Amino acid sequence: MISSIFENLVIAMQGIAANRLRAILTTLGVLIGVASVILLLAVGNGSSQQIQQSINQLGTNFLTISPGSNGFGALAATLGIGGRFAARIGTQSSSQELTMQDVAALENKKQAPDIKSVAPVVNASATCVTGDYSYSPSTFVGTTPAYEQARGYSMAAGQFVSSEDVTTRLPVIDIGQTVSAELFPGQNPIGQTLQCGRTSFQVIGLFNSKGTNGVDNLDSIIVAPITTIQAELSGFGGLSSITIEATSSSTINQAQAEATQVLMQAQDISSLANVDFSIANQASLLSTSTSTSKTFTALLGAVAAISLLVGGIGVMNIMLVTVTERTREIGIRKAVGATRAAVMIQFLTEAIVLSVIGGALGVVAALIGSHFKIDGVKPVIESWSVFMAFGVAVLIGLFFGAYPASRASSLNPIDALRYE
Amino acid sequence: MEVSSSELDYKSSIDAPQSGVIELQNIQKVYDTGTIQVKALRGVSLRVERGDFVAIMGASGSGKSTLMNILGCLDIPTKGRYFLDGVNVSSLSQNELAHIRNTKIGFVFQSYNLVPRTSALRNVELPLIYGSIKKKDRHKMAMKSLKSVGLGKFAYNLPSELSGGMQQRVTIARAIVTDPAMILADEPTGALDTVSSAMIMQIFCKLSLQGRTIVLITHEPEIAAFAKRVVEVRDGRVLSDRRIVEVSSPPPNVSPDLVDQLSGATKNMATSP
Ligand SMILES: Nc1ncnc2c1ncn2[C@@H]1O[C@H](COP(=O)(O)OP(=O)(O)OP(=O)(O)O)[C@@H](O)[C@H]1O
Ligand SMILES: [Mg+2]
Repeated sequence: MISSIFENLVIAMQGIAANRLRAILTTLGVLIGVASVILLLAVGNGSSQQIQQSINQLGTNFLTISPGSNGFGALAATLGIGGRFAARIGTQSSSQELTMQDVAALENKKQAPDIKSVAPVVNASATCVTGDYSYSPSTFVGTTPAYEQARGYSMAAGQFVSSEDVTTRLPVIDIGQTVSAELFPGQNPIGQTLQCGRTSFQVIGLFNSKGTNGVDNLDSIIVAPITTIQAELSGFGGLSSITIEATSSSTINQAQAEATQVLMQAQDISSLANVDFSIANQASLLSTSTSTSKTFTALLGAVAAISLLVGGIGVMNIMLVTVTERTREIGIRKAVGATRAAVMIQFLTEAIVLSVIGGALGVVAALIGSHFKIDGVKPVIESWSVFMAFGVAVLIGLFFGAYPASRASSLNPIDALRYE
Repeated sequence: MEVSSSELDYKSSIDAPQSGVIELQNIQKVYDTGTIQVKALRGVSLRVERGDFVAIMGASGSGKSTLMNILGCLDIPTKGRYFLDGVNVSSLSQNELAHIRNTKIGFVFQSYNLVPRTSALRNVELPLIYGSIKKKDRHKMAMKSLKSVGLGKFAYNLPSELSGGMQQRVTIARAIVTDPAMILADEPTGALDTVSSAMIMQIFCKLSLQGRTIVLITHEPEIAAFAKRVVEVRDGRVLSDRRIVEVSSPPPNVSPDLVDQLSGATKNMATSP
């Protein structure tokens, strides 16, 4: 029996060094497994953080009411998914339209004390042209000044659509950073004119960048007075949605209840089952997206775990080849006094050393890889995943090394010495 | 010529291992191949004194290797008793046999059997590692052993960098490093040219001169001619047992020149850094 761990390591390292290329390839398998477990979990984690961040960016405490009992319309409207898309879903599933009367009812402080402001929204779609440039924004809405605060937009230059602009139906617009970059590259967009559909608009404001919400580019937006849009682009039908700002984030559920009551009264609906509108709530959206991204992360982790398993099988494969190749060496060692346990430990140590090196390099690779954006997501490594992946790699070495090592240790020295 | 250790001589004294290093009592070995039973040894009794140099000869298939495996504690007999250095090894467990091999036996194989890609020094250290000898002592002992076969300068060479004769000398260094009760050599010159063979045999003679016990298996009479005693086996039985010279006298056929040369070389090695 060899007592010293160090002596075991020396023997294992010599065995590994005897066939470097093979050791490197085996290690690579474990490396890729460990690195992908850590990185994919980090990507999942990073994207869920990103989604939460952008949901917070949308505005802190607002509700979106959409016509039709199909919740997806409200969800789409909340996320700010392309106006055309949301508008289509809204009109298709609804018989009862949202109107300016509903907006007025919701603004009644007596009936809805927890609602701070109400912004009617009409979606439009148009290709905008100026000079040689043309661009179709993913969101083109007509609304009222309340929209700015409810949705959490802030101005980089100029000002938001005002009440006067709404009442006088002025053809003025505010644009997002992407729209500005597409249509007025390298210029100041304020004061410029833009042809959208048949109408000429004057740009009066530029939003600060809000980035993406994980689904849509929030900077690809044009906002105009609701009256102008109705007159020029969408017609005077029902509203696409209504955005409501609650007095605070803690009153958002009361605000939702009040809005439901008010709308049921306004639309003459007596039972909740017959309600023909839906309200999407920031909090519920956050929990939905959190659970979705958890599932997503688990899925990524499972895929990575499979590659780690494949790495482990690689270790076992190489150890089996090694044992066969070194049958004679095993015979020699046994002849000069190595016990079964000593041979077992030798090959087990070799397998573990291979997977520990692979695991350690995998951690390094993952740490380096996490500095790069992967598919637009900045990976966020969680320390537990590093320890888990490394630990699993070591266990894999132990598990997949056990069978080859026990095969080596049970070799008969006479046969092993005669082996060619 | 006398038949001194036939099967019958020892039947009477079966329970009393004498001062001999090796005491085989009616050893039988049957290989069960499933379909037929091969009787490789049919009752071998043999006693080897401390300091003896025995050559075991025999035709192919006569049971030499089987005998050697049992002598080397690599295999256990089907029947019979085997005392090595006073220990009854015929009833030991695998782990105990490993310990016996480690401490009491030094192997020299026909095909050298060095661990490849491992320096000569480390190959010689191998039995000491499994004997849990401390690193410092181990290094000293292995170096001394290598110098005694004239390979002090090649301690850090790999087996692949050494000639066949040199590799066999490393094997001998490994066999003697633990100061075993018996050196067991199976056709040690079988793969060597005449010059290297002569060199190896002179080393064996020198080990014998130092008082070591050697059992050497060969089918070449020229090799057997270096031994103090020649045992011939046939069909798993001892056919003849000839004492050439007394146990206490030097082995026959030693060239005094070579011995001088060898010990001179060893002395030079020992003084060089
Ligand atoms: N593992 C085994 N299984 C079955 N039979 C065996 C086994 N080993 C040896 N034998 C048989 O036992 C007999 C003696 O074999 P052994 O190898 O001891 O002979 P040997 O004298 O060493 O011959 P050689 O000079 O060819 O090496 C032979 O008939 C051989 O076929
Ligand atoms: Mg043989």
